[in-house]
Amino acid sequence: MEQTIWQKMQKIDTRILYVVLLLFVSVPLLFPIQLPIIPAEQTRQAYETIEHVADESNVKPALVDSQWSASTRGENEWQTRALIQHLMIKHIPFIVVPGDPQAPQLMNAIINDYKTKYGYVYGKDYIIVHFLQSSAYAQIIKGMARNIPDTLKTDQNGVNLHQFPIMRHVTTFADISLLLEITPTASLDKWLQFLQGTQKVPIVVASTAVQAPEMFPYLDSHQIQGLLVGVKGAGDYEELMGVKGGGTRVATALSLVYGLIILLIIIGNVGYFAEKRGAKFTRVGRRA
Amino acid sequence: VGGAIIFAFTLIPTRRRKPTIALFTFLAGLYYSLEFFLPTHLLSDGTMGNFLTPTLPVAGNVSQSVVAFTYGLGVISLLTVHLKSIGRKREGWGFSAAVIVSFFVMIVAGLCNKYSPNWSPVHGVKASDVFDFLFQGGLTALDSAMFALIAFFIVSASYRAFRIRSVESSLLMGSAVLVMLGQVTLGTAITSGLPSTGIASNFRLENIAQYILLEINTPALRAIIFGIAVGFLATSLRLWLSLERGAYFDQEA
Repeated sequence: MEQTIWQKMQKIDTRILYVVLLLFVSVPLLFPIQLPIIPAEQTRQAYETIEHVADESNVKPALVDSQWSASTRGENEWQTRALIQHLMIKHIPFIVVPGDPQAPQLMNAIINDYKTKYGYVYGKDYIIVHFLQSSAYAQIIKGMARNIPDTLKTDQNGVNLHQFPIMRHVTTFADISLLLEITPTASLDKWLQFLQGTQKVPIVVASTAVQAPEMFPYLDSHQIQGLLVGVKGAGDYEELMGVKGGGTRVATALSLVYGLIILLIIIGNVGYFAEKRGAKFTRVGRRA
Repeated sequence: VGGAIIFAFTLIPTRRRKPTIALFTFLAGLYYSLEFFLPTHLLSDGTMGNFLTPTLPVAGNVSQSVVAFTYGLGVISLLTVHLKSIGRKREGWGFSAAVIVSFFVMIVAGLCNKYSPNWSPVHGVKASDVFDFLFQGGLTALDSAMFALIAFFIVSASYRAFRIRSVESSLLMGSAVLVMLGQVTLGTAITSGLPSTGIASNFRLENIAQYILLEINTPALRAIIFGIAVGFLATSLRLWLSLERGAYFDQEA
């Protein structure tokens, strides 16, 4: 029996969907499209928190907790690039704490792209400590709340942290200006549970879009001072910094993909309702 | 020291292992409980705490060391499973062989990169180049590609599965579309013509999405978090007091 147009609308070949998706992703990346960017309120809060830290007379180092790996680089990489660039523009020193085995390499690659431009020197302006196992994070955070160098011990190359100028005035979290949590997981909970009770450090979170709804209660309760939601958050942040980077480009591509998903949902539902209505009319006609 | 302790544990008779693990679990939990609940006073270094507080960094290091041993356990398990699969020529044993080869190639490349990055196994190619090629060109690219595939499934699944069949699904669909549009530049561009202040600004898509996330999602999620926290507390107590039944001990019994 031949399919009606409504049935066909509900059964578009998956291969066609994949090709259309591929076009929706690749075309805006290859040929950037300009769309007006209106930064979200939570991104603005994140930006202003870093600006506020930079305004302090004695700028203390920020702590960057990098929990992401290559699997979520599509979102977390652009967020990291935007945040690291902002720290460097404002000359805020930072300590990177990698919470994933891939994080040290990924963070090194990103920082290397900007460090010469902004005159950042390893050990003096930034440092990357050794990888920390996420399953012991609660205990590590409790230790860090008390003494950061004695808990973290060494940098990524096994050198004692006390030997680096950046760590000269860092002992407890009172010596940290800001915590940047870049994560695709619910790792923020541990910082809130084991750090925020004892130390009041501003926290800015950059999370994947799928994880972001879980962060909103903490934004609402002012336990975190800013939130970058997925790659849109990175694009918004670039807009606030006045930089047109990869985040803006990818955010535009993502916009079109969201548009495609909504369009397909509408097509599927129109077909579904029209078919249902047609079947109802047919039944009524038969009864008559 | 860790290795010696693990070896000492292996000498414990099987029937005494459960009480030993229960004892250490209880002591570890007791340490953190006492540190948290005991009254604090001004310590010699000017910070607040009790007599256990200065030992927190040491406890953090011990925890890291213990967790590091689980990585070793993971490696042993991985090798055992895949070497058995290769040895018995089970279905898909080729994949196991790929795992073993990749595992050792990455270990060798990683160690060479760490301890002798300038060593040149092939003329003009340094050990660090080999590692970078394997890490950036192999692991990172494959990892990203795996995750990127999800986009294709999401598009296909949302098209096929999202059907408005009830009031609940209509509400879900409506809020999902509004939040999706409010979270991307295309959506915010649609209503960017509306004023950014005043009553009309409430109809801007980003503000509608923000309202749904903060006023509807947040209270619901907060209630869920409270529920999870109570359950987590109960489970933690059961684990601390070794009341939880695990597969290992069930097999032992």
